[in-house]
Amino acid sequence: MRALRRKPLGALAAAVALAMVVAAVGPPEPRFGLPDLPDRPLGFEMGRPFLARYGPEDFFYDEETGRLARFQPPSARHWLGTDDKGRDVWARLVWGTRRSLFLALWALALGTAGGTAIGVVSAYFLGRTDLLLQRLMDALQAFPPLLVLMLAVSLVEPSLRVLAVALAFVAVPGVQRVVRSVVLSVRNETYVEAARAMGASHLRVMVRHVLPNVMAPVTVVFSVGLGGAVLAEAGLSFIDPSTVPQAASWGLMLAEGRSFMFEHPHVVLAAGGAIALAVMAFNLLGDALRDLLDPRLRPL
Amino acid sequence: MLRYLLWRLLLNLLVLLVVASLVFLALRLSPGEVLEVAAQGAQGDPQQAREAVRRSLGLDRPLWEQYWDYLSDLARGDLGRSFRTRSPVLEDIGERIGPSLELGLLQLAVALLVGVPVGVVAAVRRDTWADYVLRGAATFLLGVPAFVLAVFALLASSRYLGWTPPITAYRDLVPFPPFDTPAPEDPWANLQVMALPALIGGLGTGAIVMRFLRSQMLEVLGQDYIRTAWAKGLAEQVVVMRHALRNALLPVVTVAGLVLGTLVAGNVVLEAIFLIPGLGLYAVNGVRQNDYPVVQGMTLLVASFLVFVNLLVDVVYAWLDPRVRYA
Repeated sequence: MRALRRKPLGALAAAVALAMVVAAVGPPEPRFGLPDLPDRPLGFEMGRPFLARYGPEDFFYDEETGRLARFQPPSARHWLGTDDKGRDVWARLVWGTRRSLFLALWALALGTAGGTAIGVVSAYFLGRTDLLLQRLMDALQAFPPLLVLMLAVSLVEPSLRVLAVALAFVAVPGVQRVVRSVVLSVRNETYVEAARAMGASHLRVMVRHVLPNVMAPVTVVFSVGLGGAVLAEAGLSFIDPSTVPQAASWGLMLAEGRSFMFEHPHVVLAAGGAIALAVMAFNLLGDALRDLLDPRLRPL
Repeated sequence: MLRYLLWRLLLNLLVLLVVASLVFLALRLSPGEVLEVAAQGAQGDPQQAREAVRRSLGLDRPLWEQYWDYLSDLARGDLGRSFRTRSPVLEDIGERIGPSLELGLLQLAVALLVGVPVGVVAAVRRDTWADYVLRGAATFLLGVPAFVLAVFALLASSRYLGWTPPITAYRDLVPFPPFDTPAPEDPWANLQVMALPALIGGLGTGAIVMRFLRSQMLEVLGQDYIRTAWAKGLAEQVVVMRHALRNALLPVVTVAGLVLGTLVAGNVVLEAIFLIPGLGLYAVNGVRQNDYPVVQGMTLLVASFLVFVNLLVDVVYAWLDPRVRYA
């Protein structure tokens, strides 16, 4: 509660993030399987999002004329109106939230896990291990993120699973750098030495004594990274709409809406607004978490 | 120091070798269909046409042979020829670096012109409404993606100002035309094309500069020698501009250097939206058309830029800050 009053912007950002989660989930259905995106992100299938009244590809006809209800203004039936194919813009926005959010969560889960492991190992052992791992990270970082994503979907297959792995790949160097710098400052602490002296193995020392120290910065990196992943997915769908997995996506909506934005700007406004709001919320949330969890870290 | 430099240079070459090998392998081991585009125009049996294209591009040879040729060409500074246009990649890059460099420099100019004064004001007027407003604006610009901002800017300028940047009709714009519009030679027309993307990208970068400079300024303003300067009765302007800003700017200069690297080679989104025939658009088209030599060449270009700017930054730091020493 005190945190809430001290960080009103952070609280607002948290509220937006929470709203995204609410918009993304739907009634669980008892169909299980390996996690898959976008409809089975947690191992079980999810039905239509609670907040969406229609499917992402449902199209509608005008009741009076009987023709396709293209470019309808906002109404009680279609809260944000309809697009060029007579589809409900609000429903597509909500379905797009599910895609963006779970894609980002999975990408960051994989990316932070990998980045943390590499950062801890690299800084704990230093020496040749560190040198080798850091050069490898330099090499990974040298790939322009957007090109990595484009290559991944064009070379392997245009699926969200591939996209999540590619996004994780892009996130690893940044995460490991933060983790490494924290581990470098704790690896010479007396409690690490004491644990070693008591006969604890390297693995045990790393997991039990070093790892807890990096949890705060990793939380921050995770939150800011979510914004980056949402941004990257939207950017990719916008730049290369024909090759990404086709479903309701904010980036795709923005790309499609661009062709008629001068006459009917409501689609690009809705999609662009959603992207900007989500990215900003995750950034602000990261800032607030940084201040609360680790005041030593400065912004940027 | 010299030993350290040589050692780092060697490591950098190693990194570049790893990058080159990774791209090479990733491209060739992927199941993606490369030859469809190239074979589409050919007549007769599509299977045969595909084989012919594969032979003419040298893709039918064993992998290690291709790899060896690729590396030995690289050692001679030859990046190969584009699969699509058959023109040398190095020449293509030379042609396209101009527009990218122009856009990058314009963006950097906007970023510094906006970011530096705003950062100084926000630091000096810390925790006043001016600071909050400026920081809020920076957070906003950092949060709103360039492509969203670009779409909104196009919409606003044509709707409310009645002015659309003179390139093509945006309304029926395919994201990537098969042709590359050349950058106009006429400076006035050129500026009209570059104004919006430079402003949009520059403001985003300016937000980074501003946040960085503000925290640097706050640190410097708390130092003893600043208190001494105040105590001597110097004017605020002198203390802030001459004593504080000079020291706070040093790290910002290195940030600007790093940013310029990504601006020149990585301006994919803005170049694509505003159809500026630079390196970003070139790379994107290369990826879309599975043009291996183009993708390899662009990745190497970006990688070398990054790796060597990193080295340069470390060296400059050691030179500027006597406390940093490399052994």
